[in-house]
Amino acid sequence: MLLKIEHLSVKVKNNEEIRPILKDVSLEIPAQSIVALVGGSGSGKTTVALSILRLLSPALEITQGKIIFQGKDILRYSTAQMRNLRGKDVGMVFQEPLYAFNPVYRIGFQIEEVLKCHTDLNQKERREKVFELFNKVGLTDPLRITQAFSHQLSGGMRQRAMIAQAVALHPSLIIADEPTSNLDVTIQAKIMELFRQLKEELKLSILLITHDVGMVTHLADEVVVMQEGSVVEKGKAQTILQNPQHAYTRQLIEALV
Amino acid sequence: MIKEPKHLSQFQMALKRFKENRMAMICFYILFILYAGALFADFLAPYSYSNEERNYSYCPPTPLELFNEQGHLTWPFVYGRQLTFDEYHKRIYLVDKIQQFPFKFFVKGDEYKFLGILKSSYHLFGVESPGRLYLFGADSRGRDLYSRILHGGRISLSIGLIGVAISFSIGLLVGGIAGYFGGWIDDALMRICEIVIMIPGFYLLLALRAVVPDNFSSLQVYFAIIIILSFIGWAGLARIIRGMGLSLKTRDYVLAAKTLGVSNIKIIVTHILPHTLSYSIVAVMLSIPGYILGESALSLLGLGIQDPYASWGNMLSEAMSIARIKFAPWILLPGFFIFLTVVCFNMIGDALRDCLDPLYKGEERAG
Repeated sequence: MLLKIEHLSVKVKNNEEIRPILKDVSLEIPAQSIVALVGGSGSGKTTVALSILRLLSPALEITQGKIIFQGKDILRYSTAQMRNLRGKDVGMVFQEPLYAFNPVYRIGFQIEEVLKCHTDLNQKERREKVFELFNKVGLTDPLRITQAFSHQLSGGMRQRAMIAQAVALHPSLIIADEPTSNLDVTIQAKIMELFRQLKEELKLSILLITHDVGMVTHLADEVVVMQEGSVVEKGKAQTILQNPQHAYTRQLIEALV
Repeated sequence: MIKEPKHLSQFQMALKRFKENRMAMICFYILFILYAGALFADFLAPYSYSNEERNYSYCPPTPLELFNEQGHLTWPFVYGRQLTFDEYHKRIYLVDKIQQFPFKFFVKGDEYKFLGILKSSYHLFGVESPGRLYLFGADSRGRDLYSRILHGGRISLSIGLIGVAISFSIGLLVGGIAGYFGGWIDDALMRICEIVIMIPGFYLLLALRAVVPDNFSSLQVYFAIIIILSFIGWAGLARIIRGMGLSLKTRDYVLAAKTLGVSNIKIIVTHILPHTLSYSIVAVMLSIPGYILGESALSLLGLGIQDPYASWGNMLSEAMSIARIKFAPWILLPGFFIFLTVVCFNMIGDALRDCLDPLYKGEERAG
């Protein structure tokens, strides 16, 4: 088991009136698999993702639970250990890459930045590595893209660049937070294909946060359904999609049709 | 193959807009000349800052004569001067038409080190001794005001740049850290800023100057003044940068950098501070005059650069009595240079604010 979240609860600090953000969430991500985390807006999907990276807003706190990554409880990690884990072992892909890239730097620089922080490659090696990553995520013309600013690329290209950045250090887990919701349908399909391909090639697991059941059908091995901060149903993707037990899961699937 | 249309980057567009602003360009050239003059002061000035001739105390400007006594056009020269006193013991300089000193290029004079490296004693222009060339007149000790203004520019003009560099580094860093981390770090740093802002600047300046020992050499005093001025200047900037930092840290790319394991200080330096740049460049330009005026004020009161070293402020201290201004009005000239520099920096700062604004649409603004 690559990642195991046990009884995770998160609530707003010093405020008993607001309902907990996460209530007793448990889920597992096996090695080399795609786990989809589905649920409506505000169901706590992103909070789960940020808890794994321990980047919750300072207003939130984890009140109980364990997050076991590769056999170690990362909630006990020091800040330095956490920083080493981020990027190196766990990468993240954001919903809107336009905002996830700093508008004042060229794309190439920002991908190199990750390599600079975690490896001691020299400038030339870093450049080569960036080109290699771009090839891997299907970005032709890497020379132009390294020189471009984020607003000069199309949505699909930006998302591919974002994925290149996330997989730069061969992490064993990628958290993809609604990676396709801002892309058009044809590009969505291509990005999904890319995820599947990367999973095989780099032998990594993906925690796919989405509310798009179509994407779940195509990609996911397992599904976790969340509602209002709790896990309401989880299991093999096919089982759940064909035979949903919980009313909320049924609603989600019906919404697709 | 189709050629791609030429795209201007933000910087190129800003530069273009700046160049279109004639007033700002004029100011830029004036400043350029002033700074070049200060840099090459040794060579451009006919005398060193301490070359004095007591017999020529408050000698009025000696104009370059183009016509000789016969009224013929000649190579420019200056007449000698004869010091006499009238019945009220007032100094009067009579033009001595017998002594004529031709104006010369590359005159041998006081020895100096060109740019601190090459030893030389040649000056761009001057007159042979015992003649004296006073383009802007002389001060109480008969030192050439023109030479002293060039030399004084070294101190007065450099203090602004170095002071701003120091205080802005502190301001950016403190503001960035306070804004990014928030919480108690923010509280602590901002209270310190408020304490610094709260104390009236000029009195703080005087108080800090009092702490500096008397036996400092003039170089040490120079640096002490820079540090004192910077100490006062950083707090205002830090507060504004902190505000920007508070909003910038919620951007997705900051979160993205965090998820990639970039360290906090690196996030501040590469992802927060560059976004405050268009504000800080303008703020830098607009605050340089403050440093120049600060140094002038200290030197004017005799607390800054000490005689015989020249700075525009301490040269003005001679102009503190009305009788002397009436008698030798040219000693106010350093004040004019201070004024000119301050106006130029303000004009450029203003122009930069317009051209660094990406939403700027030219002169015709609604409203």
